[in-house]
Amino acid sequence: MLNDELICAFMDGELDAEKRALVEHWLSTDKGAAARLERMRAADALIHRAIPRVTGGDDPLVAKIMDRPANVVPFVSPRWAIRAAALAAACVLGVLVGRMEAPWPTADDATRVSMAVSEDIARVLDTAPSGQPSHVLGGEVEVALSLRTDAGELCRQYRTTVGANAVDALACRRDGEWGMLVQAVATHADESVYVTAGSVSPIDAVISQLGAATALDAREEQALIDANWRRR
Amino acid sequence: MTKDNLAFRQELVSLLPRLKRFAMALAGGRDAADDLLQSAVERALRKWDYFEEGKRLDSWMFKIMQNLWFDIRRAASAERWVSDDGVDIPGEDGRELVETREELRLAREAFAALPEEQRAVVALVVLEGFSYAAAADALEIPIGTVMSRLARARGAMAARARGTTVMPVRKEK
Repeated sequence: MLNDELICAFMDGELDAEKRALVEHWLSTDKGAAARLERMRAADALIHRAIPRVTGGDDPLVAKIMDRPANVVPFVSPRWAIRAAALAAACVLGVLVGRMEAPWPTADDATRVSMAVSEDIARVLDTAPSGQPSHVLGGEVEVALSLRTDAGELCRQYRTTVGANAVDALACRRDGEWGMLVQAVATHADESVYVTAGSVSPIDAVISQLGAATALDAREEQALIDANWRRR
Repeated sequence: MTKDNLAFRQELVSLLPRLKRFAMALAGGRDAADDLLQSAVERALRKWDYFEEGKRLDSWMFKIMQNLWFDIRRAASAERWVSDDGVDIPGEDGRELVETREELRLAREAFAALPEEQRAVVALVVLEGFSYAAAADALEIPIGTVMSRLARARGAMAARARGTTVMPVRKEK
């Protein structure tokens, strides 16, 4: 019997000569099948209409791609990516780890003071390449990227996910230990909260306070993992 | 900037219109699509060293975009695909314009009603002309899944176009 998947494969040129001939025979003898093929073709026309071709033009992304020095962070976070973090900054859901004399700790405070991370997190930061999740603390920890500041400090941004909740954090290597500079809630159930497009995440704010930071490529990162994050 | 990195960036720029279309297919609204594309580009620039020479950059980017989109969707707890009506339609005849807008609205509503996994497959095969094998590779799913999602999506679009619900004809066991 001529099923929908076979009709689609026929339309998309995915059949070998033998099957194609078989389908053509079916279509010529089965009006229902032929009608079904026409409806599938009409569906394709509808799809093309729904999502039209995008023409090139003066796309601001072109300049961003071509002008930005290789591997340099931070970059402008999109609205949805910073939503939870910006919310955290506004509502104290995110915590800058720093001096608490001032009512609102600043990103600058966080660049000077840090808090030791747990042994489990430290182990992940010591050994895991970026993008490779590790199962710890009843959840998952994944390093997003590794950085080197102009001053030579080595830092790693990572996300801890437990169930539906996620927290982003930035830790830097200080005196042979990982110290967390900032963490911010990355997921929040309340999506009704509006956050302006211009908001900046606490993580990005702290990174920018660290000065020009360069994201390490995979080779550099692996070399540091192998060297137990000792600076060369 | 190394020579290889420059070549990578140049190819990335050349792909932007296609990437934007894929972002529209996944995200629907223009703002959400722009954000998705920007994040994908940023990730690609950070991770370009992972891109294997000789592989298809478009596939690699589509994979990044789909993964990003799923991350966003998980974080946003099922925010609905929002259709963007702000599409420019050429033409001067008033009635024709109204009909065209209505057709466009129906088309976008029908597409928006598809599950996002189906939209991704449709975007690659129907809009991008990917082979089933290439789509399966880009989306990291079996070819059989590509076929079934495609058939279901086309069936649903066809049914929406006719205002009826059609049960798909499945493979015989």
